[in-house]
Amino acid sequence: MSSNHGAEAGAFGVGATAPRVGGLERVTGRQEYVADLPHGDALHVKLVTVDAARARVDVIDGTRARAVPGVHLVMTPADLPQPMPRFGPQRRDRPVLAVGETKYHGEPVAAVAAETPDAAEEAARLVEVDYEELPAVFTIEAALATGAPLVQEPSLRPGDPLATTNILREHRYGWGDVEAASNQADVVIEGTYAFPMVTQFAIEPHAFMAAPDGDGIAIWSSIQHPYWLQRVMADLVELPLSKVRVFAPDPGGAFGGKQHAKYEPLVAFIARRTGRPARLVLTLEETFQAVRRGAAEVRVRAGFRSDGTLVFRDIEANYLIGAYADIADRTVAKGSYTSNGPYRVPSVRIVARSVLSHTVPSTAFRGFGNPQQIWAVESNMDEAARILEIDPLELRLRNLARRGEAFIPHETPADGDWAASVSRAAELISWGGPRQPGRGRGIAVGLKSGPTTGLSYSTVRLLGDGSVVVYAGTSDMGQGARTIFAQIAAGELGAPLEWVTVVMGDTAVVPYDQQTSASRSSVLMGNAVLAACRDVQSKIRTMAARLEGLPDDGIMVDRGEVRIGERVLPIREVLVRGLGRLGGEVIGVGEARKEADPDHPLGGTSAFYEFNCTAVEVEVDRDTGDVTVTRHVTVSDVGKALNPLQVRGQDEGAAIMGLGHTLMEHYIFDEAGRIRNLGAIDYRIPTTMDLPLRMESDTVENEDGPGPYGAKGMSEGALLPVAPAVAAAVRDATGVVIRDLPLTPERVWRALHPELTGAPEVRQAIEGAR
Amino acid sequence: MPIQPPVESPRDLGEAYALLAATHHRPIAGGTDVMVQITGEIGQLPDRLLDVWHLEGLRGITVSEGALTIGALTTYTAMRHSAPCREHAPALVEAAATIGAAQIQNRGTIGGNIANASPAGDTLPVLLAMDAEIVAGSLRGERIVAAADFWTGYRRTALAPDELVLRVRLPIAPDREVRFRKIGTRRAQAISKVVMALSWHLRDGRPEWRDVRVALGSVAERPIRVVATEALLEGAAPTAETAARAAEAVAGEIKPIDDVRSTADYRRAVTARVLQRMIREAGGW
Repeated sequence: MSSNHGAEAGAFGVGATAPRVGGLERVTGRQEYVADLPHGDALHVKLVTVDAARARVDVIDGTRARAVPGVHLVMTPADLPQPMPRFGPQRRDRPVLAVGETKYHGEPVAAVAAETPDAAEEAARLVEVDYEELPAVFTIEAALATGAPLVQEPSLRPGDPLATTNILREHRYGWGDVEAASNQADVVIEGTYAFPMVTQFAIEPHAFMAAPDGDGIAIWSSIQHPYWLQRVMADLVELPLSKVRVFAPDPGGAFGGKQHAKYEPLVAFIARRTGRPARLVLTLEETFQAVRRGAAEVRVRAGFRSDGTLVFRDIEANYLIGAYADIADRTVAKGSYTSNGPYRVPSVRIVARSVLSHTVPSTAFRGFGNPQQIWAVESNMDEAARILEIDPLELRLRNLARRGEAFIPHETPADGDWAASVSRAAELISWGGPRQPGRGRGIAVGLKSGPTTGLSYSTVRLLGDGSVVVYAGTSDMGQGARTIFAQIAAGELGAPLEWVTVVMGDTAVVPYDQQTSASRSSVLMGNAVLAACRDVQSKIRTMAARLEGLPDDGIMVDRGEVRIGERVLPIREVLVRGLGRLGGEVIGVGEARKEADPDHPLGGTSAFYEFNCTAVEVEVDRDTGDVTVTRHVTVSDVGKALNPLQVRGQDEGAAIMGLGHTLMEHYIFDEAGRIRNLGAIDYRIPTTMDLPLRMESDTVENEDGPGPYGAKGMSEGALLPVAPAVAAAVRDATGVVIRDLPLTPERVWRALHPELTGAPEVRQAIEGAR
Repeated sequence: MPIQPPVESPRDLGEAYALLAATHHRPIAGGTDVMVQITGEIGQLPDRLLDVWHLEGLRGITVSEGALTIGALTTYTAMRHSAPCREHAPALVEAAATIGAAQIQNRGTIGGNIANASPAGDTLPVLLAMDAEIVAGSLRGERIVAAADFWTGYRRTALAPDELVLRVRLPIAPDREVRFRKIGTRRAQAISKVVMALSWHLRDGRPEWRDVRVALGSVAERPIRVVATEALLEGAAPTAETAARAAEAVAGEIKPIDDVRSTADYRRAVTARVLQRMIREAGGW
C-alpha cells in the first residue's frame, strides 16, 4: 500500500505538469462565481448614472422609482453617513456615491435595491436626476492645460502643493548626470510614444454581495485582495476585523482589475440600511466604467555612442489616470521606477506624473504601469538601432545588465541570465535568417519588478489518513495558484495530488495574506506553504524519533519521506503509527515575508524581476493596413517552472492579451468625455481568429529565484514587450515608424499612405528617420 | 415592463400573419440582432415581439426552377453545411462563415439578416450581387421584391408592417462568378468596416464581363450597388487598366461616413483597393 502511495505522490510534485486543480469545474461551468452563489432573499442593486462625464447633480428624485413594485430603497447620497464615506487603497478619495458632481462617465449618483433584477433596472431608469453637464478633461493635454477644471477639490488634498493642479503626484528617479552625459553621446534619439486606455475585460463579471452576519457583516466579492478589502470595510462600517467576514470565491479572471474595493461599500451600506442581503452584478458596460489601465504619453531621449553603448536616458511620462486615485499612482511609481529597463546606463533621469482626469479611475492591470513605459523605451531602442545601423538584437545584448549587476543603484541586482532569454527568442524566430518578402521581424524585452513588500501565512493540516488540507489566502483567479500549492504540499508531505484540498477565500477561516498581485503568490504564499509543510515535517521527525527511540538528529524528513539511517519510510506510515489510538492530525504553520525598506522610493526593493524577450514576425497588408502576426515567440526567465504547462498558459495568455492593446483595443471618447465604444460590440479584444499564425513560448530556468525550489514570479512578463516587438516588425516590413497604439488597420494604412492623408504618424516617422 | 416586451409565438404562418395584421410586432428569429438591442439597450425597445422560430415551413434549402431557394429561418450554420449552397452560392457561404462565432451562426438566420436591414449586414451585398429575389408574405398573399429594391434607407425595407420575409431566391447561373470580401475590426465576430461582393458573367468564352454587379455594405445608410462603377466594368475585361479605373470610380461613387469603427477616408480608399484587388485576382495578373 505505502510504496504504491509513494509512487503516486511523486507523479505530480513540483516541476511536473499536474492537472489544474478546479480546472474541470471551470471549463464545464460548474464552478460557482460570486454571481452564481445562492442569494436567498437578497435585494438586487442597480446603479443610477447620468449620461455625462462631469455633471453637477442638482436634484435626485426617486418618487417614480419607489413606486415600482418590489423596490425597497432608492439610495441617494443623502441616505449615507455625512460626510460621505470615502475609500481607496492609496487615498481615501472615492465616495460611495458621487457627491454633488459626477467625475466620470458611469459614476453612480444613486442606487436602487429591489426584489428582482428587473424591478431594480426599471426603477433605476425611473430615478429622475436633474443635472448640468460641466466642462471635463479627458486627455493629458487638457488636464494639464492652464485653467483646466480641477478633477479633485483641493479640500480633498490638504497640504498638497499640487492640490490646485490635476497632477496627483510627480515621481522623480534617477542616477548619474544626464546633462553632463548629453555631451558624451554620439547620437541622441528622441520620440514621444502614446499608449491607449484599455480595460481588463475579465470574463467573470464583477459581482458584490453583502449581508448582515450576526453582529457583523459578511461580504462576497470577486476580489484579489480579500484581507485588504476586510480592512477597508471594517474602517467604513466601524467594526473590528473579526466582525467583517470576506468571502472571495475564485475569480474568473481579474488581471489587476479586481484588486481593490469598488462597489462593496455600496452594497454593504444598502445591506445595513435594509437589513437584507444586497447584491450587485455589473454588466460588461458597467465594468468598462469601473476598471481600466492608465493611458500614457512617454517622451524618451536616449544617448548612444556610435558603437551602440547607452550613455544616458531621459524619460518623462504622463499617465492619464482617472478621477480617483485607486491604486493608479502606485502603478505610475512602480512602472516608472524600472522604466530604464534591464540595461546598464550610467545616467538616467525619470519623471513621471499621475494626471487626474474626468475618466474611469484606472487601476492595476497585468504589467502594472510598465507596459506603457516599455512600449516607449523599447520602440526608442528600435529606432536607435536603425539609425545607428546596429542589429536591434545586438543593441540589446550590448547594453543588457549581467547577473549580479546593480543596474539600478541601491536596488536588487540583476537576478537572472537575461541574455539567455534574448538569445533563445532570437534563435526560435531564426532572427538572422531569410524572411519572405512583405514580412518583417521585431524584437523587444520587458522587465518588471516583483513585489516590494509581502506577507503571507499558511496553515497546513496533515490529516490522520495522510491527506492534506492547505489554507492559503491567495485568490486563484485562473493563474493556477491552487494547483501550485497542492503540488508543493503533495510533494513535501507524500500525498497524491488529489488527496490535497486547498482552502481559500474566507477571511474567517484562512490566515492572512497581504494580496494576490505582482505575480507574487508562487513565491510568497508558495514559501509560506512550504514553510508550513516543513513545520509538519519537523513534527513528523519528532514523532519518528519517539517511535524509534532515537534522537531527532538521526532522522531526516523531506519530499514525502522519512529517512532513518538507511531506512526510508513514507511520511504516512510514521504518521499513522505516531498518532496512535486517538488519531488526530499534525498541524504546521508557515510565514513568508518581504520586508519593507522605508528609505526606498517604492517602500522596498524588488523581491525578484520578471524578464521576458518577445520576437515576432508580421505581414502587413498595404491596401488595408491589416497586420497579421505570422509568428510570435515569447521567452521568460522564471527561475523554475513549478508547473510547466501552467507557465506556458500564463505566458501565452499574457502575450495574447498584449496583442489586444497592440493591435485593436482602446477606449474612444466623444467630445464630452462619454465612452463611445462601451461594451463588446465596438471594443475589440483578440479572439482565437486573431492569434498569431504560430506561437511558441519557452522558459529560461536557472533555479535562481527566491520562491520554492528557485522559482520566480511570472504571469505578466510576456505581455510587457509585445507592442514594441510588433511595431518594430511593422517598421521592418514597411519602413514606417508608428508611435501610437493600437496599430489598428486604419492607423497603419494612414502611415503607409501619407500622400492620401498627411497623417501625423507619418510626420513622426520622418522625424524619427532623421 | 419594456425590459421584457410581450412575446407571441405563432404555431403556423396563418396565425403569424393574423397577429401582424392586428398590430405591430417586431419579428424575432434567432435573436442575434434583436436581443443585443434589448439587452444592450440600443435603439428603441420593440413594443411586442413575434417569435417566428417555430415556423418550420420557413426552414430549408431547395433547388428548383433554376433557382436556389433558402428559407428565411435558415441559419448561417445550415447554409455553411448545405451542399446546394456551397455549389450554387459559395460567396454566400463565405459571407455566412464570417458572421459572429459558432453560437451566433447557429442562431442567426438569413431572413433575420435581410429584415434587420443593417447597412453592415454581411450577406446582403452577396444577395445584391446575385440578383436575389426576396419573397414576402402576409394575409394579402405573397409578393416578390428584388434585392435591389428591398433596402430603402437606414434600417428600412420595402416590407409592409404586416409582412414577413419568407425566403430568398437566388437565380442559378452557371457562367456567373461571385466574389466576397469583408474588412472587419478584427478577424472574427466583428462588425464590418467594409464588405463587398462582386459578380459578373462570362459569355461565349470571351474575356469581357457582362451583367457586372458591385455591391457594398457599411459604406452607405443601406447595402448598395454602385451602378456607375458597374457600368464602367460592363463589357470590360479584367485588366490592370480596368481595375484602376474601377477603383477610382467606386471611390468617387460612394459616400461613406466617419463612425466609431472607421473614417470615411479609410472606407473609401479601402473599398477602392479591395475592388481593384478582386479584379486583379479575377484577371490573374
